[in-house]
Amino acid sequence: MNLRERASQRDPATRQDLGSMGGYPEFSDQRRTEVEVERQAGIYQKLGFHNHEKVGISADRLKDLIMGAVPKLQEIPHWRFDIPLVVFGQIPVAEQAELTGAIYNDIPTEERALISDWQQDLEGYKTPESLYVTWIADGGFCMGRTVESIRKILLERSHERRGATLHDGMGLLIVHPEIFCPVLSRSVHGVDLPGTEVGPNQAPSVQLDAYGEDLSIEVHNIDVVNPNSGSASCVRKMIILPIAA
Amino acid sequence: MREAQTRLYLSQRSVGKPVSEPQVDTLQGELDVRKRNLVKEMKKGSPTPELLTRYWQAVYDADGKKAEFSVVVPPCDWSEKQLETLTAQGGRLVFVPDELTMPDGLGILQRMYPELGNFTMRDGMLITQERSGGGWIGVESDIDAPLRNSSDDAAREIYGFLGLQGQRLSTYIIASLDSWRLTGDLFDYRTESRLIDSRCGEKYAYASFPDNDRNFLRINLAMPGDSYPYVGTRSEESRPE
Repeated sequence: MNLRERASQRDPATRQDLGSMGGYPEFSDQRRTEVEVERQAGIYQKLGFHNHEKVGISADRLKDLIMGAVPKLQEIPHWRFDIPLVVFGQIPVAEQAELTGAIYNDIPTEERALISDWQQDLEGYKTPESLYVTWIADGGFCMGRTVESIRKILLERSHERRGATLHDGMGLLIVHPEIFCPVLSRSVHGVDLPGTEVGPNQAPSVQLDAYGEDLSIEVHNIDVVNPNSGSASCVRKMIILPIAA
Repeated sequence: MREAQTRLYLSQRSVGKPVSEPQVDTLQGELDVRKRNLVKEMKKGSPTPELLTRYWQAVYDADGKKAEFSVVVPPCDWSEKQLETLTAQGGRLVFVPDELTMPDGLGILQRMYPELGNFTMRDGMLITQERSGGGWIGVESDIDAPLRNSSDDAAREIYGFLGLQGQRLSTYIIASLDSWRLTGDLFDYRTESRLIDSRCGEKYAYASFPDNDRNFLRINLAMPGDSYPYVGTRSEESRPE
């Protein structure tokens, strides 16, 4: 099942229109969070993430591992607009993109060499090289705001939230392609990732084409105003899920 | 016969006999014309700070005269770059005089725009605005309410992060009429906007123009915490640093 087909699946319990125009679901109780996390675990199972060399566990074990994190995840203070998100920090984003079956347009080689977690993050955030679960706001309400201006806010609220990274953005695209895909969503937008830098003055964003078949990571200056893109952010806390051999 | 009638009419005019001609308030007419000309300029898009200042001065000169309300609009303090960013965010700049945010501000607006109906009171109580103080304020230009299907608490979390504040009823009316002048549409003819900084007792004011007609501004009241698919929340943004 490709990204477009998944974007077309709609489950009223968990798949309300996301984004600032369409309204947000609120994961205020554990049952709703469980349903959403289970849905995400199912997507990763179907895409075969459990078979990746850096995971290497059975599909059932992967699901159990992820579902075991839900009670602790629910305890983490988060915004009502935040979405639970399962991320594979140990798998490079290019390899994750290939697992989705979409056509993937990678960052040009010279820019790829400059990619790192945002170095000015006051808590020195580093993307964990493991599976983790966290809460993310997709950036729909930040559309038209520059990455630079959102980073400024994040510096003031660094104890609470961090900029979403390339890994978070890829995870969001895999489990919520409808946010990016204009065919089926009124609230479509690109997702800027202020938690990753491409050199000091550039940041990446994740984009999906209109048909949900062509996935790309674009790099742009942090002071560029893009009315169709918004910066995603995550709660600072996360649940890391070590995979025992 | 017809010729004789014409001669009689002209002779009556020349001696000052009563002839039915409309009484025109020349000053009001001039102010309205000036406002209309500036609306035309604004419709071209990408207004400069200087044009915004002239436009809003013309709006308050023309509309305020009916209520004997006058204000000197200070020069717009948003830079062109800030205006460009606001537009990219789907926003628009309006000028809200301090007086219209004070306790009797809604009463002044009522006199300026009597066609809107009585929006100052509901359930026998005055609608109050939580904050006073106006100026150049960025608002969403969306016709449909933003942040629909979400609670007031959810909106407050986002506003806290982005440094926004809840919209007040006076700002809503001024911005909605601005939208009508520039686009032909009032706010919320398909939706309803929760104005979290305008209340009537414990309840929030919910505003809409359900018929997309200036003759009907509907104000409903509801307790905090409710969320509906057709109800959103609007904000106000001060000039960024």
